[in-house]
Amino acid sequence: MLRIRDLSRSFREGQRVHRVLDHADAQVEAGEVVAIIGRSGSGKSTLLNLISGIDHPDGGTIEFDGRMISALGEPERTLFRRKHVGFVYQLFNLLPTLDVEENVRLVLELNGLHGTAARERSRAALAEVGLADRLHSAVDVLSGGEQQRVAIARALVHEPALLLADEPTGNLDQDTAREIVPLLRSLARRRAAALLIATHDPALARDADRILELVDGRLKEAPAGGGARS
Amino acid sequence: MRILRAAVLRHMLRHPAQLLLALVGLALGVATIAAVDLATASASRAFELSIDAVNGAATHEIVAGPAGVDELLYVALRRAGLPIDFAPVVEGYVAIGDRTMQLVGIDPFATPAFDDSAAALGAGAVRPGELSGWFSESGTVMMAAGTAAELHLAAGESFPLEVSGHTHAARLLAPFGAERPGDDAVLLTDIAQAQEWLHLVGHLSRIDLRLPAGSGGARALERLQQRLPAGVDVRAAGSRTRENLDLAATFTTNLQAMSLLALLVGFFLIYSAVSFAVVQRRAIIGVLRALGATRREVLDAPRRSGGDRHGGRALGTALGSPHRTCARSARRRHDQ
Repeated sequence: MLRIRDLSRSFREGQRVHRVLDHADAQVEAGEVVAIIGRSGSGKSTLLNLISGIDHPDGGTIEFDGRMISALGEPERTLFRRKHVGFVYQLFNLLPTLDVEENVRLVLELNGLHGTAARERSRAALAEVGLADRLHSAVDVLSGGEQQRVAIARALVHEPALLLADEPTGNLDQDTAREIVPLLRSLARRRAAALLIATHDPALARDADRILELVDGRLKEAPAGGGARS
Repeated sequence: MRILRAAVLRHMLRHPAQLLLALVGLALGVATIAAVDLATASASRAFELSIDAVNGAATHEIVAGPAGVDELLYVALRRAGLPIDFAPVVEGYVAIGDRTMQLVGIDPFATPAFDDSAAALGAGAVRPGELSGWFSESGTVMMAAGTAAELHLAAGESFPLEVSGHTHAARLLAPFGAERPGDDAVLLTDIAQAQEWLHLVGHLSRIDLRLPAGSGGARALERLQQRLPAGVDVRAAGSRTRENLDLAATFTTNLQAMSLLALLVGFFLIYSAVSFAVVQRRAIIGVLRALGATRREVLDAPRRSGGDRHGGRALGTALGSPHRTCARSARRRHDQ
């Protein structure tokens, strides 16, 4: 489903070139939960940005369902991201000017679904994450856990084939994190979506089907618990 | 994309002070550009009209050196029986208070065929009783009604007139009945009076001519040239206009430089206001782009929501007109 080959990305800092990804290779199948671990600054977020088409690689290829994402222009990558990718961020990235339901429905509207159908579908997605009673709340009055639930509903409401989560528990307390991760995993599984979680939390990584560790710009397979899949 | 628009519009409404700043920036920028555009166009047009007003309907003119044309030549030419209309003109600059005006001395019996302002003398703009004052009283002048109002002068009122450092007593016979562009800087008087004030007694600044059209005009011109003494030339009236325009080239260059500077300031204001508005919404724009909104959709959202840009443009266009009026007044003062 997702194939990454020889992926490279560097950033220039003054005279120095910082090679974040250096010929990285990976493969993720549909419905798989993969944790990407690595120390801070190792390139986890850069990798997710490249996969989602937000950023463009210096070299190598990203192939998704037989389509070469890395060869697309910026507008096509945006449309790819809109349709096939759901993204959950550490800082939630909800729009403060929209209420809970509107934040979720926005993605459906971007994908061309309007009116009652969009409203019903966004409400169903919010019900799945336990926020059916907070549809019209302002997002900035919600707790961190609730905001992340809204972000998860927003990421999944358009049934993407690929769900990317960048440190999804990084801004949550431990108890809330323990609730969020299984929720994210189960919702992804229910939709047979591949889930890539960038994290430096070993406990979170242990529950993944596979663990890929980013070391010196390359992805290495690391031993995983894999219990969550069974 | 109703929600996308709502996301952007609500952000504006949540930050009214920022919205106001952006509006003011856009309005000032648009006002500056609109005013410069209008002022430049109107200045150029006003200059052309002023030149035209001074030239009148003359097709040619007789000119000589700095001392002017001997007035006896005018008498001789009138008696020569040429099929040409002649009108003597004496002109120079005078000051009324701190306002500089162009004094134009005309012969009202010769000039009506040429110039509308002078024609007003004989066309009922001046009452018969007042018209006699033109010939019988010393120092009588006429000026545009608007200029008389600006100088707080009423018909029949006397005022000091400064010519080359000497002060003379003048009296406003009557304001022009009808105003044209360029009239506001013109002070009409009898040609003999102008000669006296401008120390040109016995001389004329020029003799305006109106030649008949076609081959008859060419023949008349040829006959006229045979009668002109050395040092006196006849030339097309347009050539003087062209010379005037050439003389005004420096003024035009200055005006253009000022216009470009004002445009630069206007664009800078608009750029700053738009940049400020974009920076305010950077977080929202980032999230929208990450969710898959295209650049066009993000850019179109504020426009479709009828946001600050439209408000700023409308306000700026409205402000541009009085701004232009101020610019024109400044230009007029500069000209004087």
